[in-house]
Amino acid sequence: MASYSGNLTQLSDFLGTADTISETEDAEFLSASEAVKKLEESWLNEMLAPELLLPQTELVDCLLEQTKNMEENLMAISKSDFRFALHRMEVERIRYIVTSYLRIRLEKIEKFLCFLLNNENKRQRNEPSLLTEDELKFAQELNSNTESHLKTLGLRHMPTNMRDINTQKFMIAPNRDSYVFARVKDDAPSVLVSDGTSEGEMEVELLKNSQHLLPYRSIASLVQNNVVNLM
Amino acid sequence: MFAQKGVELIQELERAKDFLPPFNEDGVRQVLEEMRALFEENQRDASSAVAGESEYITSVHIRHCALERNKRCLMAYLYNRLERIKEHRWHFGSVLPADIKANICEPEAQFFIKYNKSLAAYMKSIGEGSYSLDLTQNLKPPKNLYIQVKCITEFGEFETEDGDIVVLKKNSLHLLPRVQCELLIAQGILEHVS
Repeated sequence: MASYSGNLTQLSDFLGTADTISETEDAEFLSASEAVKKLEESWLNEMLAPELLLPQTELVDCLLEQTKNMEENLMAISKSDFRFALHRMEVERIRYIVTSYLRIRLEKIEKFLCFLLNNENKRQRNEPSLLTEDELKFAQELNSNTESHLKTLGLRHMPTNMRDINTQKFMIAPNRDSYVFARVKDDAPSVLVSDGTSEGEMEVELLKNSQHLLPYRSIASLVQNNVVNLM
Repeated sequence: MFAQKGVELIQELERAKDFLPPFNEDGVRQVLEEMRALFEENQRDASSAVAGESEYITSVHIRHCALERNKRCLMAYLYNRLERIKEHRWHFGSVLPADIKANICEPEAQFFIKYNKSLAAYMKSIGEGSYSLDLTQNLKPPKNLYIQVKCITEFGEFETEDGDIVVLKKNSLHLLPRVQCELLIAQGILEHVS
């Protein structure tokens, strides 16, 4: 895994695609290899976290743009050139990470459908949304389709007082108390960890580069802020 | 025993782990009938209970629990079938193979079409529409650009991305770009030989 980004820099230099590209929102400059590295982190976090994390829309868009450029450049060189296979492979790898990342998000959205839509409705205007606009649209469509399906086949034929579906009761919510392995990227001096029992909370010091097994709940905000990475 | 049929429906689905059993219309109807009967009895007893005969309250309560359980079983049955149908969308693409199609009922087919549509709209939106990305492909991390595949059905001509035409005959071996084989492998036209 670690070799991906290294390879990419060299290869992109070859093809002249390593030009820095700006990330629209942060106005921060990211090279292709940095972008890949960042997405790799988000990808692993998303894969290992029990709940849906904030979307990395700009990163995904930026990498797709990059692979597109690389592919265009690839057209120019002969297929028998040894660089062709290397670059092609690199493009495939990036594309795999991007699709896998988006797929994991969709899986979570489908699983926690009611929970996420419920939270979305309760969300304050200044809070960031966990769903992108398109993901939200997908979720809403899926929700209404599922509901209408259950109505047509079951609920419609039930006694009058049972025709409603209580989403609260059937809702699947992510288990934020599950334990996750985490590697610390930046010192976090005092993190309150509760073990779920009544014994209260314990203060833990997370040092840079140390690894821990902790309940997800206690480090959820650190994961979002990119202070710790899940592993 | 109450709610027996509902549990049977779920067991039936649970036992057939790797394929979708036919929609059990009869079973669903029986559950709904049981619910109707329970509901009618309950209404009768409830009105007696209101009239002051308190010994009916317990039976009303038990029947109500049975009703709830029936509802829950039926919902679980329908919902989990939908889950399987969604899974099939990822496996087989937007067209279901005939043997699966035969096992789903009309509303489920409708759901499949709508799910297809939502998914396609979502995939189209990725990368601001300038880049087409099929999320149902690239399911496994790439190891090689080309893989060796064996054709297991008579398929005919197949055009690869860069314009080459390959004739896929039964039992022929080919070395093809992995990306373009994934769907054909899922559809059972090609087989990956390592």
